Amino acid sequence: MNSKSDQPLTFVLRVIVFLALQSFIGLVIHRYSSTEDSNHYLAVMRDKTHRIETTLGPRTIILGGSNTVFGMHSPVIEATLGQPVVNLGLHVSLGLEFPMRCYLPHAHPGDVVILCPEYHVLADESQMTGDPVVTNQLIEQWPDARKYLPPKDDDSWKAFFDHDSVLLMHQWVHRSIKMIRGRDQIDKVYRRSSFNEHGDLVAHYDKTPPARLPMAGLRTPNASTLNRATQTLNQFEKRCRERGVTVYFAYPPFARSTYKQSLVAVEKIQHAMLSHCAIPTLNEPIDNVYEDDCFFDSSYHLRAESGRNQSQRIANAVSQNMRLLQARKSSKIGNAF
Amino acid sequence: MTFTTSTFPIFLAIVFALYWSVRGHVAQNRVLLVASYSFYAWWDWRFCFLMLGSSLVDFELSRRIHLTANHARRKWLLATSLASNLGLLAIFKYYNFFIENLLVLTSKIGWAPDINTISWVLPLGISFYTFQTLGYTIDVYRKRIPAAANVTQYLAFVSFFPQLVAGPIERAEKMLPQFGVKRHFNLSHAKEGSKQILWGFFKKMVIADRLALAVNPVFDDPSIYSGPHLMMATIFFAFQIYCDFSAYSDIAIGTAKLFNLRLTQNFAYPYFSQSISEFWRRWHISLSYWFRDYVYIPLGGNQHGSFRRRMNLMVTFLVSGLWHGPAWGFIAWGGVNGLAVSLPGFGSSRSKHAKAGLQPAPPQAKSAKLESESATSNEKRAIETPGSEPFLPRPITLVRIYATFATICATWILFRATSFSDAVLIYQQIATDLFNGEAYRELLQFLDADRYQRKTATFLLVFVCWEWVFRRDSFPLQLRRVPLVMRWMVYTTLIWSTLYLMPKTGVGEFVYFEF
Repeated sequence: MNSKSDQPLTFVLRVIVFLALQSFIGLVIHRYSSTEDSNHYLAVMRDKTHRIETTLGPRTIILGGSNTVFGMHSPVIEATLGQPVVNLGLHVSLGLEFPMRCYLPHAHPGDVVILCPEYHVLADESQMTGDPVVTNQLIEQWPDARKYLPPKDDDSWKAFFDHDSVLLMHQWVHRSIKMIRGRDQIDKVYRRSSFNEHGDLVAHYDKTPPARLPMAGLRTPNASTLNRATQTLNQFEKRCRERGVTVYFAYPPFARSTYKQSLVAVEKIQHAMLSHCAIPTLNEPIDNVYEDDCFFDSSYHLRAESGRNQSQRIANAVSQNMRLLQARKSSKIGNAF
Repeated sequence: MTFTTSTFPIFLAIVFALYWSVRGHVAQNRVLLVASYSFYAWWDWRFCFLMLGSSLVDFELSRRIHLTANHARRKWLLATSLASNLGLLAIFKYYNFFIENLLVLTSKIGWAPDINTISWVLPLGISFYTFQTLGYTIDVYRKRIPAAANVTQYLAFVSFFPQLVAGPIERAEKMLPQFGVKRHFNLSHAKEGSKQILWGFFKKMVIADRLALAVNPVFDDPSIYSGPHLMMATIFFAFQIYCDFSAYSDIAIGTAKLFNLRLTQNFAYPYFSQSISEFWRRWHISLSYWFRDYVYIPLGGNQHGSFRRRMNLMVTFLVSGLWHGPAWGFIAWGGVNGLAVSLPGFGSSRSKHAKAGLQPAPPQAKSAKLESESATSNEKRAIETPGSEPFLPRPITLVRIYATFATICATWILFRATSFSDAVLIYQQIATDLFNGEAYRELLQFLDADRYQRKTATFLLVFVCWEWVFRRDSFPLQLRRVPLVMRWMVYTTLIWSTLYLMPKTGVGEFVYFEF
């Protein structure tokens, strides 16, 4: 016969007391991580979609992840190309398709799209589809995002319990502890108010970079992943072409140390782009490799000066391509006569 | 389903409540059986039928072996069991490997037979549960145990969910009697089990998964890294695989304790070993002793002279390498370890323990008498204080631990490299840069710039020190003499730091799921 202290109930009660203590700690932590934040970084999508809805075409549209937010200087591009710029880039973890799906309903004949996705969304299947944690955060800040997100798989609830829920807890704890410790210098940059009217992030221009966040080298992608990526890009290009929109592809800026670690993967991506992607490419990966100190807090986030140079080079390349396209069109018309 | 998901605690709470609310061991076994198959079906329900079929075949064959006295018939029944279990492994795990190598071989003589490889999924845990049932049938054949009379009891033993996917590989001799009686709740077991589960989560989610982020890019493309960087990645991998696999075992053992069932200790601070053979007594203990009892001893063990003993060791380690995966790298890894263990004066330590009779794992079987040793005595031997008794080790002990660890790290390269040629390249690169000061400076600069890896290395150092301090316990979070308040503070810190420090890319799969 069991003694009283050896009853499962005694154990369960102790577990409940322990969990109650953890819940109390969780509540304290939660106090510092309220999601109701109109100045949240992801809430800027409201402003970006508003701009694309209200800016009359033809326009230059920038699509990609956060590399475009940090590294693209829309005023520089606007001055070179002579048409208004809307920077729709936001976050690499929203996946490859999300920015494209945001743009397509607002496509306008004559628009020029500069597509500049991070290598990670081209090389990693899980990144390509978007990170559910960030996606959920975006929905919290901007419920309309649901309209633009790619449809979910049937077993996504299973994925939520098996994978995403742990990540959500991690992110919640991480964010809260960072705030408790007062190390929110980065967070002062990652705010809705840090963007200019075009959708470029400008708050980091005059800030000293924190220690650069680590970035593991890219894992070498397999053929099916690259195939899926190029197919997605080609489908987007086709839909744009049908709407009279010209699309260009640009490789993102990359820190030299990470580039060195990711060389094989980058070469594979470049090879796949050359062989299978129908979108004209504005540059080579090596053209966008900058020294590590040109970056703010990750291997994709350029600081002000390097970002200006990068934007100017991309604008020049687009301009040159557009002139060539124009010349080709004119010669076709000439030949027709 | 895997342990490091939100699904698992919910599942565990439900099974715990059901298990302790039913009366009698038959009902408890039924609860565990349904739970175990549900656990497995969460991954892919179709493979439940494979496991069920394999288990039932062994149940029936063992029953017949037990019932018949005819020696030839017993042998034939055993051969059928071996063929069905090894056949399953051959089809699902090794078929493509053999075909690929056969095609390479035949192409050398200008013959191209029309055989294709097959693309199919390796059933999760197949290497573990087939070895468990195989061990059971052999034990029945050897008359060490009677055949299980109750099919539910037997199926619950084979499919017991905590150890189903990645071990420990349990012996029927130890487990079936536990399933044959009603389990009474034991508070101290349950508390200890909870602590062990917590420790497992911390090891997996903080140490192993963070190390994986540093290790994977290097082994994916070793050609662009310097020798010191490759050495660092190898050391990181040594701890990644240890923390990953031992974490799984800790969670499995801890979960079993909640049901008042006792599983074999699978790891006993292996990196504090003073010789390669001691390492193999402390690393994946359940598998090492499985191979000792079912491969090494049947081959003759140490009964036929020194040369034969070494050959037997070599064969055992080669088979162990092949068990890990169908690749030449694993076979070579097994071979190198076999060589290291069998070399005189290299594989065995001259420590006090060795003098006390703790000879290298397989050779310690001085006679067939050892065959009858229970897993419990194996465990006792493994948990002799690693790295000697004194809190601060003698210099010679440190030298031995270092030499053993360095040798083991060298063999891990064969294990982790994505191909045999990559492994050779890594060895070459390490040898070339061994005395290249510039390469070491570059590595320091890299670490200086990479705060994440620096942090990970610091956690690793703290982890090793923690393990050293508590190395007398079966796992280092028992905190027996620590007041309750302090203990709860430690648990709370571990829970929140696990959530805080885990990689932002999420929890990775357990490495041994691949095997």
